[in-house]
Amino acid sequence: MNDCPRIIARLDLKGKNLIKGIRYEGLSVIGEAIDYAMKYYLDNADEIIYVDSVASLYGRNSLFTIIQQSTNEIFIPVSVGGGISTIDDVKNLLNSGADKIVLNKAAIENPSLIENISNQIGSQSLVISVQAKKRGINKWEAFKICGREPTGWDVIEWCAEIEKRGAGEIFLTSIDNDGTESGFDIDLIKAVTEKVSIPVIASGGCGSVDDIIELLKKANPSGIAIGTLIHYGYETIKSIKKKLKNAL
Amino acid sequence: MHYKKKIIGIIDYGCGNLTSIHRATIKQNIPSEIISEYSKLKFYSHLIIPGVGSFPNAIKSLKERGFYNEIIEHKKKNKPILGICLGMQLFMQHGFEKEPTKGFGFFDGDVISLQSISQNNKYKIPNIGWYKISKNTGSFEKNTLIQNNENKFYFIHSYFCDVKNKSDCYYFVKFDNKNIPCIIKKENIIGIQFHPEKSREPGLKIFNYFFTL
Repeated sequence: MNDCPRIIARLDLKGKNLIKGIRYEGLSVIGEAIDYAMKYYLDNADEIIYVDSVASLYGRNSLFTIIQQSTNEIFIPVSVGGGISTIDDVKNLLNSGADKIVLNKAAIENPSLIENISNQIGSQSLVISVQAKKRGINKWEAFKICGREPTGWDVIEWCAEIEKRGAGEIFLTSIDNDGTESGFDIDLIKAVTEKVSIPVIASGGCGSVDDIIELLKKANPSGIAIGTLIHYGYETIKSIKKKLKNAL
Repeated sequence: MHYKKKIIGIIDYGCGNLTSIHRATIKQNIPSEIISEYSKLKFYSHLIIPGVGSFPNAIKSLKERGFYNEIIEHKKKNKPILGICLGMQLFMQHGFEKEPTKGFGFFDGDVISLQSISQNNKYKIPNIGWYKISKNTGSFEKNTLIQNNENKFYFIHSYFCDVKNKSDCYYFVKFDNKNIPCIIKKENIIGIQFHPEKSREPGLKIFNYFFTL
């Protein structure tokens, strides 16, 4: 059916390696990122998202290499994020083969950057990453720098602003649930998908296919980004898609 | 100037992911090059017009870089041209994104926003996803474009081509219960709304088909 949300493999990077974190603290190296990306491509992933988690501290060479290698053999959309801050960064990454650029800190510190970039390269190539931390009932605050620094922005208001400024998509992560395998923050995703009319990719907390099924019963994300579930081999993307097809 | 061998020229006019298209043709063993200078266009047997961005910017850029008239010349000689996504939309008569702009007019009809045909918040715009496409049963030309109706293709767009002549429409995709043309063809001009270079094997095979024209 045409209504199934995209199943997106999310790969957090450190240098050339794939890493996995819990609530953005404590990282473990899983293996070489390009090998896993290739594996997920062959396993029927709809997209790949690379998040360069220590981008601002180290150099970029590994990231460009990974993108170039991806472009050679992986014929599905590849998105890249992590410490990207200037229009030149964006253009360089797109020219080296990335399809979409993911921004967080740079956008929230200077929202006019969203229009700026979107006007030059097209809204379709621009995804804004929103890291949400629960602050109360149906209230979340947006964070930056891998969930470490608060911004004072209410997440729902920030998402409305992102849409208004012309981004193509929102990549929404629950900081509280990320890496915990305890399920998605369904209230968060529901609130955002009801507020905006641009696509939302839900991320953070998925520990089983049942978590995805629960989410899809109550909210309308256009994509689901998964990490833990596939990096540790609990499921394959093909098995996830098969179970979803049977359940929905 | 007559070309002696078949080779695809991928037009670099600053709008689009050229690398992916180039890599896709390499993967399929199809000779191709990225063209950055308009004067070189005539040496290529086949042209690909990629496109990401806005309609007016794309037309402006094609004109500024000298490609616009060369593309028209290419069509006059009935040489094959493949337009992908925004590239396809430029084939229409007008686009209305940001401001009304004239397109090449290879197909009758204009480029219209998805928003104008759907106000259901369940259907997000840009329309992003992997969708099956359906053949226009009214189209008569036998073609090997799509091998398997079960295949899905990767779409990402906020606008679509409102093609007036249904016989130019080869395949449709459904959006909020409406049929949108996603593969259009007239003589040697083909427009594809989705991204064949991002749609795995079934997408890559489309480049092979194009190269047989």
